[in-house]
Amino acid sequence: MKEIILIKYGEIILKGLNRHIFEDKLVRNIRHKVGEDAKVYKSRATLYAEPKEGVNVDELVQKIREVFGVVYVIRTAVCDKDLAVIGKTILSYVNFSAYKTFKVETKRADKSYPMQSPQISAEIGGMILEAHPRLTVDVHNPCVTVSVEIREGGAYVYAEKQKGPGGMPTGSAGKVMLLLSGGIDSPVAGYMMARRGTNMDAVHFFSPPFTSEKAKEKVLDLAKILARYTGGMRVHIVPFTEQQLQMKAKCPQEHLTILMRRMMMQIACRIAEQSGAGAVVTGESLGQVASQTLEAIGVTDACATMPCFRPLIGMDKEDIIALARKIDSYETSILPYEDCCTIFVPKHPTTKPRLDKILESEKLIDTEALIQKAIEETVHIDV
Amino acid sequence: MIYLDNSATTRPSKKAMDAFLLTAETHFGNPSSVHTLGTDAAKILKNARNAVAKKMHTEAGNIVFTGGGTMADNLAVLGAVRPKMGGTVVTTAIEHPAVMNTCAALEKKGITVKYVKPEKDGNITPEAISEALTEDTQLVSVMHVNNETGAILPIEKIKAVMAGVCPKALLHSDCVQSFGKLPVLPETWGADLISCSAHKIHGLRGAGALYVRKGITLAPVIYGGGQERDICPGTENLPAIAAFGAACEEERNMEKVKVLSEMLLRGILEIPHVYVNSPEDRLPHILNVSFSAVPSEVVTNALSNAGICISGGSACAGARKEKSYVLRSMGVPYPDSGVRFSLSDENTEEEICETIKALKATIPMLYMALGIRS
Repeated sequence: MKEIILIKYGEIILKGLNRHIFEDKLVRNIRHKVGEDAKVYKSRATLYAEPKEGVNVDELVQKIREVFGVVYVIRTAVCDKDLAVIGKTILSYVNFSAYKTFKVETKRADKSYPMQSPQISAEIGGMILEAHPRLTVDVHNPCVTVSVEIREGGAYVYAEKQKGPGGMPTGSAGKVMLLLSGGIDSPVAGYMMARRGTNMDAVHFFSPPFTSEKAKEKVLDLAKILARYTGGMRVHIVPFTEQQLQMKAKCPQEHLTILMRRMMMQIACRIAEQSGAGAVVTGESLGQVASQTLEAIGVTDACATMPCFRPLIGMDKEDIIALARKIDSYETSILPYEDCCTIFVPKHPTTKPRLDKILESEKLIDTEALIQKAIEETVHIDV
Repeated sequence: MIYLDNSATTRPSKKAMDAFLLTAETHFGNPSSVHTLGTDAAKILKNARNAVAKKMHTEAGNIVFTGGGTMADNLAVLGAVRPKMGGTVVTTAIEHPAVMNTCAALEKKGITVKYVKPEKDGNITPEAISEALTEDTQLVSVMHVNNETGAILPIEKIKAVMAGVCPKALLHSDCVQSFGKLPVLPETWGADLISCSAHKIHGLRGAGALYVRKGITLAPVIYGGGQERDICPGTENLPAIAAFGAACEEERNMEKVKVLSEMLLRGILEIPHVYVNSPEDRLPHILNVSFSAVPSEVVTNALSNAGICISGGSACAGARKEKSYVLRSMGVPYPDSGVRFSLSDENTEEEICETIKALKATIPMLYMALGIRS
């Protein structure tokens, strides 16, 4: 039996005159994902993937389900337009034993077809009932909807839709710079931005010998997981020991966390500018730790030179963990090679910092020189 | 690169590698097969067994090859104790997880396990063991040398105190760290079960041995086709076992390790705020110190960046976040700062000088960074 995969997309349909730009992007991304395994093309508001001979269709469906912008993936049987053939195809293609009720929906794109849609539905419904007397028709709330589409090239029949990830096609929303720490939150923040169609680079701050080589490896592993969703990623590894030591030696201890966040933000913004990114992304969630209070975020953002997105800002830890499991980053995130930045965490950090006070503290170190040094020593790794 | 993590694992020796390759490539038969390749393999197995037995001054018939030290410990402890008979197992609070966690498994089966605490210097006295013993003690399991501190425990004296209270109890000793470095003499000690491992003595991973005194029947833990007296059935890992035998036959320069170790200690003592966690009469191969409150992993990372490999506590703890329960049970001032230097006779004076130099350059910087004032 010949099979074809129907790919439905949602939000893009709402676009105006630039709709085709998004559609073309989506087609390109799906082609990139499936490679030689299928022929991908667009017709009206549906995309089609025709599997090449010998390709495992289940795997193909799985691959397409990972592409952002895809709302539904539908495995479809293609057959002759003869009514008896359509009926036979449906009976062998759909596993009716799993359901109690059904309905048939017909779309007749080929208007030269001698029967009208309701008639076709009724005929096919009759054939199904004959083969499975146990089943009943329920047009309002069926367990399964069998769809028949009569087209120029043949009849398409399908029953089950599989959900895609939704969102927007990768590369349709520009590029962002993710602050990737190695914890649970930042990969999830990255995923959420990727889902909205951004390309992405990541910045990671590491402080040898206070953080280990293994912690760095872990961050690269997380970047690889994220890269599955973003289509490649460059990680900028910024050495940050000297900077932290200077702050610890010269600045008020209770300001250390916020000072560190501000310096990270400035470095990330500059690397973002150099890499052509238009925003910085962090995994902060309001009130989670001292640096994530409203006041602290305000003081941090005051030094940002571009928008800083925090897609997790309104989420609880539990929700974040559930998403981390879904995108497969959780198990890596919880590996115990945590950065021991804890060494630089003051016992009683300010939770309501005031910008004027923080700016005064910042004057005690040569911020600009330290930022320059960090950027110069940054190592770039493509994962 | 300077390798001072020999208690985690050692570099396989040339002879061990030769034996490994020759066996894997040429004598690849199954020792249980009756054809020439099989008999050939059986001969290699026999020679290796003789080599291990000789090192323990015992007969080859008492040696059972295992998949390594952990497996030997498991087979010994689980095999020696009959949960249905109840009673107690006496062990120490400083055993390797291979014994510690196996004992914990026995606790779940209803056995009472007593974990004897060490003295302040990390030693376990026969008196302390004696106090824990009862008439219904089934097994006493005490390691010969502690893997974190190098403390040498008095196995022979422990056997003596057992004779008075529970003469029928079995004595097991995890000798993974001492085998090949100190005399391991089950028959002199009167021990019933001894575990050791190949890769700690310049052999390869995947091979270990369990000495099982003649006449002792261990309850089966693994079921299989009868190899290794059915205590550790399964086709023998012959290449690794051959390498184990070869490693046993090599003479190691203990005096050199002692000289290097003392040199290292002298150098380290010149650094302020250092606490030596190893006892005075330790196994020279192992030296454990704390640099005040500098966390273990920070010192380890810093030395790693300088090309020197050491470990915080034990290598097995490195993968977990867990801190050293050994140092904690001793009550040393900075248990979370313990770092272990473990030497072999392949180390050189230059390497030790380098290491001292690196420590003297790094540690004061870390003190300053962490606000530890001199």
